[in-house]
Order: sequence, then structure tokens, then C-alpha cells
Amino acid sequence: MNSPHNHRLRTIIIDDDPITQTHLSALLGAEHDVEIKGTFDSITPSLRFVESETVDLIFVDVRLNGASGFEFLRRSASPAEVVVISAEPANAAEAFEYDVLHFLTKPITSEQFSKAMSRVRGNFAQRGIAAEPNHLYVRADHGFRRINYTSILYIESRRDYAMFHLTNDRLLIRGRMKDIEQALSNSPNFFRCHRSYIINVNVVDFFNGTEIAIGERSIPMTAAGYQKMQQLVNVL
Amino acid sequence: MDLRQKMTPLSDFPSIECAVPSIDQLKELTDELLALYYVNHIEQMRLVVRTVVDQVPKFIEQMNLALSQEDRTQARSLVHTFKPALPMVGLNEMHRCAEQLEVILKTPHYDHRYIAEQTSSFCQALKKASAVISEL
Repeated sequence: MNSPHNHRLRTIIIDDDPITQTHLSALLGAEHDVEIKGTFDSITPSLRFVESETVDLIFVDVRLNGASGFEFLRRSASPAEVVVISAEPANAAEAFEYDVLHFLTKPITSEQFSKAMSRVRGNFAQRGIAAEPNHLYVRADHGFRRINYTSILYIESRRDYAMFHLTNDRLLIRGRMKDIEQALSNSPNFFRCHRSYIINVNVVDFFNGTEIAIGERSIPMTAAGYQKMQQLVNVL
Repeated sequence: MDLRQKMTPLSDFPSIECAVPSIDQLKELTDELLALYYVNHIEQMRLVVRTVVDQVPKFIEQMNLALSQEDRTQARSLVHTFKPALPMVGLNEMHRCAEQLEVILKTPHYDHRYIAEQTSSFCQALKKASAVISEL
């Protein structure tokens, strides 16, 4: 099996048409290395899901209950591979602007589906992703709350506390930056760009020698951080 | 000037005439459909057929609602979404009619009565076709 982490491909379907949902679920359900984690008919719940769960593969329709699947692609920070589906072949050009892996035209034929899955498996095999942790637990609400790495934008020091800025939430926890940095060191996606900040490299929109932009937030960066940042990201 | 005087007479507009296949015609297509859409899994096809049959009354109800509100954009969107399912259950002729209906719905100068007639004709054929495919 050529899926990531040697596990089944955690897959979701986003389509408001029950017939396509049924068809695609049946096709995917017959694949030995696919696990369907959810089926959604609109953007908001699907965004919430990919922010809280680890997903490897997303099938998303372009037309979604009066909204657009492209809106989902614009707003999602998920690193999952995406296959866009549409009844309109003309949507393919726009789909590939979002770096999607494949485009399927409705009605999806067996041949089209097989090609898409070959490409998906080939892509994961090429990436050769080794098993690595994708979440941590923090003390919260008199217990432990799971935080998926993909939902973390950045972490800000607040004396003996740290504010976790998540894609849809903020969470203040007791803890020193040094300990948090250590806890996240099993992921290559986080680094301390400043004494008071740890950032998720995957969500950086812009950086220069003194600051990093994540969404509308500007985060200070040290000279050493700038050097490291250039090594971590793909700079042309 | 009354705009209706400028319109083409109804008799000159194309009419949607959808032939509904017989169950025997559909059964002859089964192997082809299985290979084309279901990776030769008969259960997958049955599942999709059941879903299509379930969705037809909802589709017709939503179309009626859209037309009662003279919302052609919504009606067209409904046809557009439903259309790809038709060839998957062997209703290729219905698919052609759906395409024709989509064109009618997006053509601004067609009057509401004509659109209602053509939609009704399509929905009636779809209802009959749904009864036939439920035997697959």
C-alpha cells in the first residue's frame, strides 16, 4: 500500500448532491486503502472538520448549496490533497489554480476515478511521508484538550502562559515557551521565530527580515529566525 | 409597446419530448453501466439507483417551488445538479432532455407559461423513468 504513514487515506467528501455523495462513497468504500471520515454538503462544517481532524484526501464539488467549493479551498489551511469534482469541465482551469491534485467531471466514470486514485497514491508515495505525530494535548477545562497541528497558526508567550492562536479559536494555557517548543519539536512545521512566538510555517503568508505575516497578524522575527525561515520554506 | 408582442409565438418554440426507456432496454444496458460507472460492482449501482429514485420526488418538488416563484436561476441550478445522475442509471435520453431544459431556462425571452409547460413535461417523463429504473 502506498498511502501516507502506512495507514488508510483519511478522506472526506464535500458535495451537496446526495447522488454524487452516494456514488463517490461507494467507489471510495471499495478501495482497500481509503477510510471515509466524513461527508459534508456545505463549506462551514467541512472547514470545521479539517481544522479539528487530520485528513489526507478531500473530494470537493465546485457548486455547494449556493456557495463555491473554491471558497472552501481559499479558506482551508488543511495540507490534504484535493480532488475537485464538477459537472462543468470549464471549472478545471480555476481548480488547478488552487494546486489541486486532480479534477473529475460528473458523472464520474470508473476510468476517471481509477486515474484519480492512481495519481493520489502516486503523490503520497512520492512524498514518502514518514509517520509523525500530528497533534498534542494541552491542559484545559480541567482535563486535556487535543490540538491538531494543522489548526495552530501561531503561539504567543504571555508570561507564564501561552496563547494558542488556532484557525477558528484561541486557547490560553499555562506553560513556558521553552516547554511548548520542546513539545512541538517532533514536527518540522513549527519554529520559534522570536522569544515570544512560535509559528506554523505552513500558514505563513509573507516574511522579511523583521516580521512574519499570518493572515492579518504581523509577528516579529529575529535575524536568526529569518535565516532559519529561509531554510524551512521553499524559496525560489 | 407590449413586450409580449415582440415574443416568438409558443408554437415556434422547441418542445421537450423525452422517451422513457423500458425495463428491458435498461437491463440490456446494465453490463455497460456497471463497467462505465461502478467498477463492475452491482451493489454500487443498486445503491445509486435507489438514491436517484429517492431524489426524484424531491427534485420535482423543488422544481415546482422554483417555478411557482418564477425563479429560473434556481430551477436551472436544480437541473444542472441533477443532470449528471441520469446517464449513471441508463437514462441517456433524459440527460439530453435535461440539457435542453437547461438551455430553455437560461434563455431570457421564453415566457413563463412555456417554461412551466416544458418543465412539467420533463418532470412527468422523469417520474415515469424513475418507476422503471426502480425495477433494475
